[in-house]
Amino acid sequence: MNRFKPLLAALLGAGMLASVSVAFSPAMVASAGGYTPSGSAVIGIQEQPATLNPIIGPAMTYTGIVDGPMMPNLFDLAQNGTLVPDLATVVPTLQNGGISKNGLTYTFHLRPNVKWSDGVPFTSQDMIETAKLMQNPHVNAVTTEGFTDIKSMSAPNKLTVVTTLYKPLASYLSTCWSNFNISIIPAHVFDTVPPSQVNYFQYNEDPVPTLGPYKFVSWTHDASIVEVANPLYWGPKPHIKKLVFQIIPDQNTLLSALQAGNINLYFGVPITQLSTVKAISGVKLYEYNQPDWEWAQLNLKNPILANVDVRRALEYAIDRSAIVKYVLKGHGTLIADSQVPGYWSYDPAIKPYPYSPTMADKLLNEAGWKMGPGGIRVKDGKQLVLTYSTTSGNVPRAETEQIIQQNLLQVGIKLNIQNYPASTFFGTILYHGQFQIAEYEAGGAADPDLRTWRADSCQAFPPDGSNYGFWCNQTVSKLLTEEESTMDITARKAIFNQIAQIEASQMPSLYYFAAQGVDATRGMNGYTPNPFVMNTFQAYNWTLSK
Amino acid sequence: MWAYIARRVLLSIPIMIGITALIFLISHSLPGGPLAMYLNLPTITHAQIEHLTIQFGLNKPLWMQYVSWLGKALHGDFGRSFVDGRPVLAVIGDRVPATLELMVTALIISYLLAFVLGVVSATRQYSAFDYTMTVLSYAGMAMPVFWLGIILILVFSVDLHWLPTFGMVTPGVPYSFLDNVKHLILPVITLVVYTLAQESRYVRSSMLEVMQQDYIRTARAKGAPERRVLYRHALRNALLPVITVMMLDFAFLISGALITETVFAWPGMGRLFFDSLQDGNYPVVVGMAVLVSLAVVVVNILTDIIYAVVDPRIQYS
Repeated sequence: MNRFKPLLAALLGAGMLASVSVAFSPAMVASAGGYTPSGSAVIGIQEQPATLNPIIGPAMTYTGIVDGPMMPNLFDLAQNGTLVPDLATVVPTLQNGGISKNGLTYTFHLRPNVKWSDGVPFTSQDMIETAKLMQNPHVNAVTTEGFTDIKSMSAPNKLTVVTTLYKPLASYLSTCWSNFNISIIPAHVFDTVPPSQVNYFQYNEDPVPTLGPYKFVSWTHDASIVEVANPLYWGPKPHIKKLVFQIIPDQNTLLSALQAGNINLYFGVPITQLSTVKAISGVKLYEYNQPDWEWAQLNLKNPILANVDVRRALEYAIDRSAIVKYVLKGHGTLIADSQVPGYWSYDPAIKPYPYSPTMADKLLNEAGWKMGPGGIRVKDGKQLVLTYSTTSGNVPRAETEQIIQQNLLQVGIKLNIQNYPASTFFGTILYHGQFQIAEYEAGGAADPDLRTWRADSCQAFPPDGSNYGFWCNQTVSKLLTEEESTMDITARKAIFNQIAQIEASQMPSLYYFAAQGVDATRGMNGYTPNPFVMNTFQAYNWTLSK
Repeated sequence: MWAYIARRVLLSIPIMIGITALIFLISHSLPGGPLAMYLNLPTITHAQIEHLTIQFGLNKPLWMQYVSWLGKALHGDFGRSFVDGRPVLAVIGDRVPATLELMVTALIISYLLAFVLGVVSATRQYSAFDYTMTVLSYAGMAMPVFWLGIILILVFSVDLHWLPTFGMVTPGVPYSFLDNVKHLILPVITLVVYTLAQESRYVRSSMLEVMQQDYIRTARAKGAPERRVLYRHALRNALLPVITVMMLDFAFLISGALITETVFAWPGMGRLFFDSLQDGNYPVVVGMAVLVSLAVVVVNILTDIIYAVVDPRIQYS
């Protein structure tokens, strides 16, 4: 019936429109201004999630944002990326016996007296059902990473789960059982659903029940998703009764909604709006490091880019400080490799290349590229011309390209720019290696291993990984394999530092910067951004200003 | 007449099949495709990509995919969205009410005003009113829709706090008709400004052309009152070309208004089509194309019928 109410409004709206416009009394104006309902926080998001089922793909930031308050996991990720217990009572370690000495067996102790929002107790079966579905080939799992390494699972009792892996996997806990991108699903709902039907199951758009401080109420597609405080939540009671995730695709409208006081939280404020947002009365701005970085992968199948001197010359020739200063307005940190600030594996001792056209000149000369007519370098009768690609319609990237094009021309490299819509760029150009230099943001994972392995390992060429540049360094591949099975975090950090040094010296990709995340709140307190998880997972801390 | 309608309906069947084949072919030829949103994920595996390819039916030759789709579509099954796995008709059905609410309201207001302003402009050609309307019309047509939308939001929502900035209803509160209408005002104004500017010029031109005809001079010569000449003789004849344009507008209203929907966060068909095209969500793209094509075919037939009613000289055999 609700579906037809708008139709009624359409038919009557035309007639009413004039009278409503004319009949706006000052009293009505005042009530329209006080828009945010009491006890509700309105969160503006740019896209709607594809699904609300946390185990179903495609992986989307917006699924995580909306699921955050409803769907916890065994462990949360702290600000520094380390694990803290949530639905489990303790983080398994070698020291507490939760991880066996050979690194293959993990024992999980689940929190007692936890109930799903429908009153059914949370038990070990929920964890086992989640893993089973993630491993099932019929399920469009958001990721199979880590789950395919599980050899067996057992539940000695209702609150204990033992998993055994095929091989030691250092990132197992954070990849499979942290709230980075998945959550636990209810076994008592899914155990009767054939795996082939999970992709189309009602729970995907109507996720009832859940385990978090909030529970699902409604989803009006492309309009809003509503959640309400879950009275059965075991942890801290939320202060705000209702959360409304309002889908607002246009960034200018999001800004206007913040200005008008129609939204309380604006995720991902673009750099271009920062000064305007800062000027809004009562707005709090949150700037934080993220485990993501902007880079340009180099296609090493291209004979020009296969030369390490040319790759290093490119990094020296690009004034990345200017990009951070002018394009990001200072909201980014230069990086030297794939271990970015925010990761525990980051080593500040490895410095980014300085901007040095002189060094670039020297390296290009050593590589045999001599300055030719028109200021373009020449080797064996061929000019040094490269093609640079990224996603079209992205203003900061377009500005970045302009700076890079000018920088490279100064050292005798002609850069042609060929951009593509995001779907074409990722689906065709990058994946099928139809590029020479491709700039995009590498989304980091909870554990630094994941992205680095996928980008650097000789075993990670497409379609088995995202090593789109086809860089193969046997030492790095060996170190990555060693790091994967090392449980001690200090030893892992040492290995990552070795990999970072090799990356910095071989420059398989051009490392640019790690941009800061920027969120804004208005009329809301208690918001704490976290670089590793969606910032909504601690929504129980949020309060509305009086 | 009935034989004519039956013939038109039968003819529309191969047209519809041709349109679906063309849309199917074009949408599948676009670079990117439905797997693009998965391929840039660092954790995606080769096995997952292969499974998705089979799940979406992309492993089969294109003609087989089309024949399979057509067979199911004839039984009312337009497939499932590649993005969220929901049936295509449910995905589209969610957006139809929102689209109709916005577009029907905007078109009715635009046409009513266009007729009044167009006729007055034509009857008072070269008057101050006519010049003013001419200038305003060109301004309305030249104004970018996204710009106008944002300006309206800044004035009426941000500065004056009179109207909401986004959506169809206030989020998180029970539905209220008045609240719905308040949300409708700014997007409708945005759409009306452009449509009105166009349509009023069209009505004006059509009226001016008819008023030069011999039968208008004859009517005046016979001593018919000017009011009767204008509204009985001139307007009725001027309606014919205008009806064609307006009926086609109605046919396309189902496809929504992408920019206005985006600026005002209105969950309509325009956004759905654009997002689906970007995501390579072929089933939804083709499903929407079928719907719009069907609307055009039906509206064309209706236009022919209305022609006969408005102009007795037209007869179908």
